[in-house]
Amino acid sequence: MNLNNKNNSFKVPESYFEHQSKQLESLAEIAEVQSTFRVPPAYFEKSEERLHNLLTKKPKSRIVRFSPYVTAIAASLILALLIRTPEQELDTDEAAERYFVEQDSPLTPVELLELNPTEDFGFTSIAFEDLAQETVFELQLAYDSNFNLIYQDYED
Amino acid sequence: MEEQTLLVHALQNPATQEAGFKTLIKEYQQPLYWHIRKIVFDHEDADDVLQNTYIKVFKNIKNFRGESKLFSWMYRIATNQALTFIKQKSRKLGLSLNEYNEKQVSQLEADVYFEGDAIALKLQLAVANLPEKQRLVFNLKYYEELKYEEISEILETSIGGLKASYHHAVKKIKNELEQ
Repeated sequence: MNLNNKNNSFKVPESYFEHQSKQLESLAEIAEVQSTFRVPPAYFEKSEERLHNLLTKKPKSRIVRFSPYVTAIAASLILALLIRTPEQELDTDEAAERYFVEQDSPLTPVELLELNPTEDFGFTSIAFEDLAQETVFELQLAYDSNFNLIYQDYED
Repeated sequence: MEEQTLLVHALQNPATQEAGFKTLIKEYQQPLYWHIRKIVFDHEDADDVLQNTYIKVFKNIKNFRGESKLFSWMYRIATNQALTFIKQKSRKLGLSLNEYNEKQVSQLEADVYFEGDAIALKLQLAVANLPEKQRLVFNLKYYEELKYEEISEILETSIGGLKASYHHAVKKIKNELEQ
């Protein structure tokens, strides 16, 4: 079967393909000579170890030994706090909200998304009224399937 | 069993995961780094994005079902991480993406990890000024010499579309270099 026959009704400018291949060749010459990005010495060896540690090593819990004197002060401070503070559960939502309000530079949407560890995090679960238009758009970029998904779960 | 399937099984099994990641880092660290570097230009930025890429791979390996090649899947993550990175950085600096890319290229001259003459800088500037898709296709096809089938898996674009993008990219770069 001659596949070229399929294209017989289409024409290209004279010597189009020769011109195209020459263009690519000259570009190849330029780029080949100028392979110009470098990395610090032994970067890949060091990076390999660092990445391996980052992904596989669990953080070690450190045991700090205090002198009895320091321990006594710490214990008395805790006791004093317990006596002064009425018993109540820590409202984590309120604490988190307070934290964000107090920040001069609020977290970026990406950081907000990173903070949420649950799988069922949804675009609609965020209150938008306080967010800038750009921020809402960023979140849409991250979660709306009609956009180019950035923070999709990476399924192949 | 195919090598990739074995590696994926190792990565998804907690008992063999550590060894799996060692292999994954050894095999893919360099190609992923160079792919990222050509998007972000700066070495330190590329280093950060490479780390983020591996963290994403680590977090999402359970979702990998083997329907695409492992390396295509990792390249896709690296591409998204790199693009997100430069978009965030340009926004923080109050620059458009083009302005940001031009600034990055102009800084290459003083970059100790870049060795190139005026033509090399001109080439980088021409690549940086391409539309995002054309730039990615150009880098993957021209520098990394991937096949269109492989690029199609990474960028989730038809082969016809990729060929058109590459053709336009080469034409624009050529025009820029001739000026």
